[in-house]
Amino acid sequence: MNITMKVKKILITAGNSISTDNKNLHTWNHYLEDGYDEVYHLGADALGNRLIVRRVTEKLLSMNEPNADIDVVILSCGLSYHHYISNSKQYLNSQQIVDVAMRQLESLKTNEPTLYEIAKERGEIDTMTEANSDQHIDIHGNVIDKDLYAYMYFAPMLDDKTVKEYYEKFVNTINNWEETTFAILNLQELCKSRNANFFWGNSLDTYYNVYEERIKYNNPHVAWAYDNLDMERCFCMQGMTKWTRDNFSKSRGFADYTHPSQSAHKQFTKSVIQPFIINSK
Amino acid sequence: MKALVTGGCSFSMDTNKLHTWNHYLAKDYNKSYHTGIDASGNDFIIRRVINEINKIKSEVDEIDCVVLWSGISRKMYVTKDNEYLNPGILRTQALHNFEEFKRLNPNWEDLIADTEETIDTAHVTIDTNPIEEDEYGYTWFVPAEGLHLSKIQEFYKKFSNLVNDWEQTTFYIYILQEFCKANGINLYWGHYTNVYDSIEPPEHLKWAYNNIDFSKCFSNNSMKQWVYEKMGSRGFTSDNIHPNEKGHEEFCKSVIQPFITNSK
Repeated sequence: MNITMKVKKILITAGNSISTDNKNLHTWNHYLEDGYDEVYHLGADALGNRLIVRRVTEKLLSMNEPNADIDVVILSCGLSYHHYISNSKQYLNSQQIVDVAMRQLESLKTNEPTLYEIAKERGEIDTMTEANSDQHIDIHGNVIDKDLYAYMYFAPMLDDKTVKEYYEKFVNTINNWEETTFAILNLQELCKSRNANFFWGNSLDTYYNVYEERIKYNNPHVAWAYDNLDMERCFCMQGMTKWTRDNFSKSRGFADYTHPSQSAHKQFTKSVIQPFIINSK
Repeated sequence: MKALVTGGCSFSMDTNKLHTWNHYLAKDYNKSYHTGIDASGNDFIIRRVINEINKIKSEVDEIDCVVLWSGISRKMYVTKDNEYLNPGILRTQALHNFEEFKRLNPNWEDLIADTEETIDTAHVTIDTNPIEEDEYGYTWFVPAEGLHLSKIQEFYKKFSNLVNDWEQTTFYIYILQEFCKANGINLYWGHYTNVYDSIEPPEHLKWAYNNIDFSKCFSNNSMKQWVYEKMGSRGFTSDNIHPNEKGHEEFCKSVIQPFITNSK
């Protein structure tokens, strides 16, 4: 009698808003679920690359599946999305970010009531409120008391003077690019040590453009980690949004100014990610 | 061929004027690569160690990687001359630190590295080759005192805290552990001082810490503490901060070498 053990297939995905699957807008990782026995989507709106890598790392650590076939698929986000461990007493703290979001919401409600109602009907207001209330979290995304140290994350477009000061004085694109590259290298090696299959792409074309225009010839000495990346694991260097622009009309390909539509997510998964994973094995 | 790759800060920066622990350890290996640099933080230490290992791993049969982690608040930044935090500012700090070093060490000329071994600590490639100030290069800095360093003080005051620093160092220790595992390298590590252990983060931030293999740690209580307890002031240079050659030699022979031998 032949007994064949079925190998459990596990999918771990992560990224920022472009990888945050929800009932109003299913994203690429939703369409990738077929064929997996267990699925974990760790993406969250506005997550930075270093925090994305931490969340995937923690998930891999918490699993005790030595015989499983684990695929880790990430869509790296904007270079300038950062995280910081803070509490309410710190100069840079998460309450500021929640306050900014609430002010923007009030402004929309007062100045653009029709738009506000449309957004509310679509569930976008709830999504935004939930996302911002989660700005002081543990590694799993659970909300932590504001007086305790916890992860907060933010982006440069936030209309807050402390965040703006941080970005103006202590952040630059090349440093961001280097940190993102090192984070991807770390995850590549972690997956190797944990016997997981690693696949990655970019959500935007920024990472690729910075390399081509500012690193490759002008600052190659900060590309040592890039030179150690296994590019055979990268399914989309130029970014999902560029792929969407190249393959869809603007009205059909995008849900808003920056986020691909559900059709684009579905097509990107079927045309790019799924074949890439199959061919890599 | 058996190779040794070491990393750290000034405690691990071997020079002809002051041989450090890794100099004594290197005698057990066919080839050795020391990446430690004065004032380096853990973010730059892990990068330099991984870079060095990636360069040599295909050429050697076995690698032992030994790291003495540095101060958790020391930072690395990729920058150039027109940035707010730029190489000029950081060079000013390096000079300030050097003046302080000279003040604390009347015999400083006997302690500093030979000219050819001195690294421009303000602006370099990952391999510490100097970079023009109008190009982006690696810089690193420490929490500093002195009004002329106001931009660094401003950074620390506004955008740094010990718990965040602790989490970053913890993540680096864990990541290096996994990198070494992935590449079949034996990793051993310790701390240069005992600051890391003095931080008490909330439990939820210990997820990486709880997965560190502490059986690979030869000195959680730090090299400095060991030298202080075993040798007192006779184990230190006149600044009372850096172990002297005797301190380094004893620490290597009594702690690191037996630890590595027993771990195999």
